[in-house]
Amino acid sequence: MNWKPDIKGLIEPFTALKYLFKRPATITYPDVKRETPAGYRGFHVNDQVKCIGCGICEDICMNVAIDMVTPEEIKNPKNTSGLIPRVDYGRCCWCSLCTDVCPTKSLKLTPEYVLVTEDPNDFLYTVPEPKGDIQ
Amino acid sequence: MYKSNQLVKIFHGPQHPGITGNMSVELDLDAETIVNATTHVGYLHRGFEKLVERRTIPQAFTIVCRICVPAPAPNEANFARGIENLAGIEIPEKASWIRTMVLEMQRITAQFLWMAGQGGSLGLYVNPQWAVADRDFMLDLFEELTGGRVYHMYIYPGGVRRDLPDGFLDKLSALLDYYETRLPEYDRVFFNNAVFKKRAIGAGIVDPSTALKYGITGPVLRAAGYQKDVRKYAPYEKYSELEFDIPTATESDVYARAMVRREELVQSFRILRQIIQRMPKTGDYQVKLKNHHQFKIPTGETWVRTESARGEFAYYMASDGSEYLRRMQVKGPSMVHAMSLLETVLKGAQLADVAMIMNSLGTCPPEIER
Amino acid sequence: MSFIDTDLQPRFPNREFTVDAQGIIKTETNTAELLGLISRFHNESGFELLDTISCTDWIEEGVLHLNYILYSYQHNQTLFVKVKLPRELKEDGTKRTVAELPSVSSIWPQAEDFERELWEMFGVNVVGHNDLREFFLEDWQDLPPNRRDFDTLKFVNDHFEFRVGREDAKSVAEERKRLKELRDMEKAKLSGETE
Ligand code: SF4
Ligand code: SF4
Repeated sequence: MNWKPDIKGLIEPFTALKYLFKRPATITYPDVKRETPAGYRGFHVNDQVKCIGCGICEDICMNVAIDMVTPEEIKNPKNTSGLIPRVDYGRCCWCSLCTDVCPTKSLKLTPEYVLVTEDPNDFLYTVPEPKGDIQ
Repeated sequence: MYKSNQLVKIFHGPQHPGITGNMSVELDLDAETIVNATTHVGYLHRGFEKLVERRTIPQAFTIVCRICVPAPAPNEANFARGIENLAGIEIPEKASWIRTMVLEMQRITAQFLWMAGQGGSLGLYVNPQWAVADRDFMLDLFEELTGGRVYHMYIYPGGVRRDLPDGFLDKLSALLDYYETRLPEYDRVFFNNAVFKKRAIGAGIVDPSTALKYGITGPVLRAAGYQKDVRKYAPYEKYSELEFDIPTATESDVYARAMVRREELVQSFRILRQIIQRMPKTGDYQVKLKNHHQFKIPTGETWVRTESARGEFAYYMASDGSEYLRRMQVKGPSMVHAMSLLETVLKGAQLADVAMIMNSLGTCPPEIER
Repeated sequence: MSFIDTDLQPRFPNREFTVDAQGIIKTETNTAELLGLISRFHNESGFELLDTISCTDWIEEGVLHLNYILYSYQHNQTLFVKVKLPRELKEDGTKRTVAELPSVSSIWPQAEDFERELWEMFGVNVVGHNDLREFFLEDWQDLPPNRRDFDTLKFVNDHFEFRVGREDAKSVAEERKRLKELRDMEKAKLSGETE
């Protein structure tokens, strides 16, 4: 029998061993955190001073994730319905259609995306005011 | 080959190394050799086609990407192009270039995911680690461009949803440089690996004489010696203006398909480099659509096709003059590859090769059932 | 000269072909002629490939609109062979159509899967098919789900529960009306007081 071992093909894969001496490609989360780009579609924020309670965001959301609820205090006097959106994060898919159609651009998505909780009702997410200046 | 002449029935799956999604193959085994194979699907039926009938166009657009996990962009592109055909929308030049770029980037990520699966199904575990890590660099770019890593929801009827961020093309170009330096490493560890060659050469042969007729597409068809690619014979977006080759092979086995996919990766780099050169600096990236309740499409039907990394993705769409689509029918490559083709190819194969062959044919259950 | 004039029309003189804006050739036939016609397209006109069988439920017209989507690599042409199938179901509770559709799986083995899907999702009564079994669904006793008269929302409401805690949601239109009435009343009261 003509037996020709493929020496190159047998030895070359071991060149991968050199990566043992290189720095790992992964980061040691949670000590080091990745920087999320500004355009990431994470949690919602709603600038209630601008929100007019028009409910267009509720209308477009095909996952029926948005409820219009009465806030403790209406911050925009032009808010005709006296309601603001609340998002059910059990249903939201972060498609960002609601922020696209929002006429006042008060509703936005932020790069935040970590929500750990023991209470499932926390997933009914009362959309907070934006922190700092998120364009 | 040992034969016991006694059939044993086993179920391979529904969880598999190397393919995305769940699907089981019922195998009749004579010792280690497969006598009969039957594919069972039904683990992932989510009823997208029905859901689309109840959603207006912008609302429906957000679910089509979920039809295929490794490559959502061809679905978005198909949906968007179908709607544009039906409604008669012209998209701006720049949007078309960005779409071509996203589709090509998506092909690269899908090839890496395939590479990971192919290595994993053979027990060459260095390969999955590397390929998934390298794919992630591309996902980082997607994240910056579209805001999502896997499901981008980016290619939208009427254009794309966002403009290119500053310095994006430079980052893409740097990433391509990095990929080009990585490819020889993959050659050493995977493509020229003696173990892979020994297992893959001569395994999972698709009969080239019936390949065209049976609706086999993508790398599987090209490894059977046919130079057929939707991007060439029915060019969409900007592909007719770009230069690239269609790699082929003649052996039609797992190894030939692997080499075709490797060469396609190189071609994707080449296409992306041309796109970086020719991307318009300014211009609109979308046309505004009407409010989703008023966005009514005239009655009609259309058939659009896109070349994904695994083969031809095609949509049939029919509209009835309302703001809803009457019907959207998806035909992905797996509908043939994982059903009638896999069943034939597996006959006579070894049990240990099932995962490798499945992966090599580009099986992806989510798109069979939608 | 187009492909229709040079190739299709001479071979099929009595058949009507149309081309749409995207260059898709369309022709219509009935279930009786379907098999013969399609195998002629396959054998004589170079349409090697059956890409898929699409089905649209036009409930207003009472038909299931099937398209056999053929493609020819040789000529780079797409052909839709249309068949209109009456959509009414048999009375015997099998939930399959009265009209029978001949299977084309003798020409293309992959058609077996397409037809299995039609049979399951639209209730098309496929004949001459040797492997009609459940495809995506399991123990499905309801109407075939892709028919238009199957109500997805009702199915979901019957089978799944919605989460509690969302009852405080209000309708924007109603809330606006209520607030407006409230304001009007206050105005009326104010103007009443000043008088
Ligand atoms: S968030 Fe925007 S769309 Fe939603 S109610 Fe407020 S203003 Fe309207
Ligand atoms: S991001 Fe999408 S799914 Fe989430 S609330 Fe907005 S529209 Fe609904």
